[in-house]
Amino acid sequence: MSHHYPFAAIVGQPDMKLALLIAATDPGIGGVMVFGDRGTGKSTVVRALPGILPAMSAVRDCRFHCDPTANGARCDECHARESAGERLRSTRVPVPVVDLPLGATEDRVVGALDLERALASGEKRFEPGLLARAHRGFLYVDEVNLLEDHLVDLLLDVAASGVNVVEREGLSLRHPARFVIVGSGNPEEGDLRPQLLDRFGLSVEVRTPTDLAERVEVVRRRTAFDRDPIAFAADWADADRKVGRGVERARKALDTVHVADDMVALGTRLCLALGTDGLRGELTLLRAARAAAALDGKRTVTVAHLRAVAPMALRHRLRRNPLDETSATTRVERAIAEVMPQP
Amino acid sequence: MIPQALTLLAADPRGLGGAVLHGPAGPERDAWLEQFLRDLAPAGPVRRVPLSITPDRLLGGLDLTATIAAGRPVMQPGILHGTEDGVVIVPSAERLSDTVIAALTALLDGPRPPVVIALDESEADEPAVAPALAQRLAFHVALGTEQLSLRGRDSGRGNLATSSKEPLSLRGGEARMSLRGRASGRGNLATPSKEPCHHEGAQRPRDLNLDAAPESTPLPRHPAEFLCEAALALGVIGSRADTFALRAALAHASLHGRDLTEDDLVIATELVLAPRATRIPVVDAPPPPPPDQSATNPGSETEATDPGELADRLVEAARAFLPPSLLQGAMPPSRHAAGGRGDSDAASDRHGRRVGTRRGDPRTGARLDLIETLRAAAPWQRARPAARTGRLAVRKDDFRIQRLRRRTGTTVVFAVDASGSQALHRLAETKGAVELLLADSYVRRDRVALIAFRGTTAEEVLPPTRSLARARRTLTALAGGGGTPLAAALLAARRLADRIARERNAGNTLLVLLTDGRANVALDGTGGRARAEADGIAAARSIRAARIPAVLIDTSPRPSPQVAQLAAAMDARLVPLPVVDAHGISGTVQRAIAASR
Repeated sequence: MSHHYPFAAIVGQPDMKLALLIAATDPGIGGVMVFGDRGTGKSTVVRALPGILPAMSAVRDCRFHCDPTANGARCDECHARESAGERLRSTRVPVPVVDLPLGATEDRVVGALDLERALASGEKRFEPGLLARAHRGFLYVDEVNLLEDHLVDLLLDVAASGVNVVEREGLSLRHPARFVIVGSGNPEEGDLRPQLLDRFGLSVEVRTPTDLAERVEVVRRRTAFDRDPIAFAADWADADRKVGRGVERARKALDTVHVADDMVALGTRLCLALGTDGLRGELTLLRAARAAAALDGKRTVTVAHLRAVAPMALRHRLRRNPLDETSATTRVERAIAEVMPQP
Repeated sequence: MIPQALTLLAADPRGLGGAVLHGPAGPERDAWLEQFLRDLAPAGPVRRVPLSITPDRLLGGLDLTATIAAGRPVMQPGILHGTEDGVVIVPSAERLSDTVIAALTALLDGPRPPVVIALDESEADEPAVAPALAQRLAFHVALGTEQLSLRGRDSGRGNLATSSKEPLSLRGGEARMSLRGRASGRGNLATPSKEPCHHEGAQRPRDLNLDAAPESTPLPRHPAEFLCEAALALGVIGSRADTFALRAALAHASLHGRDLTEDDLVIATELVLAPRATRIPVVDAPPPPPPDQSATNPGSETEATDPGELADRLVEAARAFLPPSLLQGAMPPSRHAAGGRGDSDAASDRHGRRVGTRRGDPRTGARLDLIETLRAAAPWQRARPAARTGRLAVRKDDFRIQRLRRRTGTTVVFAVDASGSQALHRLAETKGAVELLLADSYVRRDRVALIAFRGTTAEEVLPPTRSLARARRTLTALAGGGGTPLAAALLAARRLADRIARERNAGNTLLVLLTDGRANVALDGTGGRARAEADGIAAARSIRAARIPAVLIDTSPRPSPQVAQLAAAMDARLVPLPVVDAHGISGTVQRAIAASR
């Protein structure tokens, strides 16, 4: 069984948890970038996601775990099976959370010609890569800032379009690859190019907790988990289920959440005050606020929701002055205080 | 005699992950490893991962030769396969490729991880083991040969024998004395054959109940609280170390067959937290005990221990074990910032864009170019007996692999004259120019390194990095004043360029020297203009000999013959600063980079 640490048991890091829940609620948000120190639970949070997300139904025996209900977005293989008159049956699979290791080659990411088949039986067959495995789930790229630029470009392209187009080695095919990309990295070890950073929907910063009680709690829970993972997971199962139910409810309610005109205006004013480039900032801000409201069980977006998501939606879109020492977070917070004064 | 860290690791292999052993290869290290493996008696296999391992041997994959011979897929398992509960030993761990690091960290994060022993043979100025791996291993032990043997011989042994028999009391000066005794005699507990706890009784370390609740201790608070407080004071980043420290303390306690005491916490702090410190803790004078302390715990002797005092003591203990570089005020260079991953030269066969094909062995991790391989095999089909059976006959000679090229960035090494004569005129302007270049290189993904020279030495204040935050911080903190050790600076630049050239995908190096050329400190640190200048010219020639492209920016108020001589000796483009402002410098360097490509 899963030996993953339960999501609900993770101490602190509220921003990161909120950002991931927003992305789980509305996968169209466009990925989450997590900046921060090593050992602050970035991987732990991401790997805990399958534990809270409800299993999804997928076409049985499909290598891309296609959604049986979505007719348009099937992979070629499912189309072929359907055309051949096969009735596709569905099965429940856990939401995939795929790790992309630092040394991964383009072949492993995109997929490649199945050498085994090609050499042994002369069959030209596509061997799906990590992008296919992450379809309908999460793709976790640790140290994305150290990844080669062309790979990051490729990942973000596929994440944005939802389709992986393979044109190589005599293969020509496309398969659906809709996933939430979660990147992590330590800015001390290298920056991510701004044009790549901008394409992540949300960006959060995590820090080593400086609060003693929080730090002790991390150690206590971790030790308890190491001692007996199964019992620990059982203790937190209820809490995990509660989070999962919240996401499920939020997903259903998402379309009905109302964004009033004055909230749109407020969001725009905030972006203007910060001078963010392009419109992606506004769009993401409102989209994230809507998901936050849905998670909150509310029907309308309020100033509180905007305030909660503004730093993560805008922090990485500010025009950077490399010589400015002020951190982006501080600048966003200042603008929030200006545009949306606390009552 | 093996370090205590390894003894603890053998006692709780799963909780502690493993260790980084820093030091040169040699009989001492081998003896440690042997002793460790005997203590551990691992349930799984013991494997060594050679530096030159290819991805298919590491992770397993298709055995191409066998596949072709057999006509059906033949898989071979990788070296990491089946190492659950075993031991993985990684020599030259500082030069591992990303692929190996990723495989090892995945293994460590998984269920039933092996114990990973990373042998770090890096020199002081070289990058150390990848932080992603080092983070997941509890102990970072330096072989520090002389120190250890000295410690083994000194008279601290008796001291420790007492301390291990009767747990230290925290009250009074006696405790502090013993602590100091321990600090000076660190090696002693590490003698497993002499340690009563280790071989006495029927208990093998592995049978110890390490999972006993840490709550059942005579300590006034949860042990994690003390360790976390120490970790906070030492600026330990991340939470993994905190957990490791607690496990190490528990392992130490159970090796001694007792409940957790403050002694165990001290050991854990020294072994786990101190090597990860990022700042030197400030230990305040012990605050007066809060008045409610005695009210809540009246009478009891063990509970009278002041928790605050214990935390201070842990921090104090750690101070003795802080990495020396920290005490010099220099952060150990982060590995990635410093780049420097030696990898096999197959790297260019694995990453980047395709630029062509060549004959080669795909098992080295290179990408097989199937079409070209078949094309190469096609003309021979009639001549090959295997082809008569109707199968395609492909031989090893036919294999074609893709040649890939990836963009390599330029590393711009700035050698900045921060001497007194310079500081008067131009240091601020120079800083401005370097900052502008930083901003440019940030967009272009070039790396920047900074060598500052003043007084008697040249110092690499910023190892090659792409991190803007770091570079800016370093530059701001750069102070001026003192003599001009020009020769030392040029040699430092040369060494750095050599180091960069050894890196994988190193790309070009460009040296930008900003000086007024008034060398007055010779290579050996003594003053004297004539010798200093002669040394400077000699060092400049070595730059030319190493074919390092260079730009010399003359920062003196008016053009000087010394600078022109220097520029000629190192074959550098000479740009006088009077005609350039900060933007001008940046433009000159831009053009030089373009020219060096």
